[in-house]
Amino acid sequence: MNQNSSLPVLVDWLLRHALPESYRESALGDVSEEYQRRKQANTLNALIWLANQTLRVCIQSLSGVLAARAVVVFLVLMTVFLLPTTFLMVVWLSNMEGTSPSLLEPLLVGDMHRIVIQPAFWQEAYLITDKSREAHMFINVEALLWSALSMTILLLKQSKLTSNQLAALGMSLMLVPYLWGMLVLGMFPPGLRYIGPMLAFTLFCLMYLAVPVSALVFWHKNREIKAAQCKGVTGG
Amino acid sequence: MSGKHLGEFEQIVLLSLIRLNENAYGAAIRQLLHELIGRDVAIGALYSTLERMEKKGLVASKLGEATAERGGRAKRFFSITAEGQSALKRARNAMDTMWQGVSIFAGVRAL
Repeated sequence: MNQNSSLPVLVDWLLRHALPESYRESALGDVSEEYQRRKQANTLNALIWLANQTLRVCIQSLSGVLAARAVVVFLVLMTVFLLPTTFLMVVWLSNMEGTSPSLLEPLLVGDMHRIVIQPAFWQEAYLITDKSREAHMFINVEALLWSALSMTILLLKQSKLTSNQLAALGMSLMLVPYLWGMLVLGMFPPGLRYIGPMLAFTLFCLMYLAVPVSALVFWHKNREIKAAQCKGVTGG
Repeated sequence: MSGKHLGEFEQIVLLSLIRLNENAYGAAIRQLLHELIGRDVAIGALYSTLERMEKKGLVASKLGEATAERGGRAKRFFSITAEGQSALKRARNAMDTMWQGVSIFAGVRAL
């Protein structure tokens, strides 16, 4: 519907995008009417009122969008944390010549999560940022195979699962190698010389799967929301 | 008893519809709430409440006339349904019952 708005262009655009379609036109009409009435009394006050209403509608809309996509927001935040952390960890492990005892002890049993929370790791990681970062350092065939298998499972299962279930399955497939690594290394510590391949596998599984799992859940969630909206429109 | 319990804001909005009668649309409801109880309700919050109550069958709506000051957009008039009236009565009865024997200043009177 393309009508004369009587609202400032930016406000009209924001409200048009933030208000749900079901009551968009009526609400826009109400805002226009009240804005015109207030404007006759005091233009500045009318603009302040309009800005306030627009902001509140935008916040309400944004919180609704985030609440509906809580699982996607969680996955995106997890990816934002995981990607640089695993990247740094790979560079750190690949260039390591020695490390502090506080990092060595969890490293030997595969508890990488305990390493990440120690300031010593970030100090050491910062110091090696200028060291070698060749592409082959970031290729791990076993992790690539696991990631391909995981994505195949997710793609095959996605039509039967809700986005929350898909996210849970995706995160499980990401975490299984890590938990397996922790378990095996904790029970049978192989020593520093042989620990590398296993740690690499667990870290690369997290690194390779974070983005595709998040993207798949994001796409699935959007499809789910659109389907629910269509159902609401046809049902109502 | 059907379990449609009303929140405080829902009760206020339903009462506004009764007070405004034939003229209950977004801007008028907002104005009434501001004048009577000093509450500045966001237009989005008002409409999402009305829409939720409409889905529950407590409220009905119909489109009215469009005016120039509304940018050519139609008003959406709301009215309370019989089910909405019943829910409102139940909410009032529940509150009346809970208030019996209670004084905010004296606390709960010994029964």
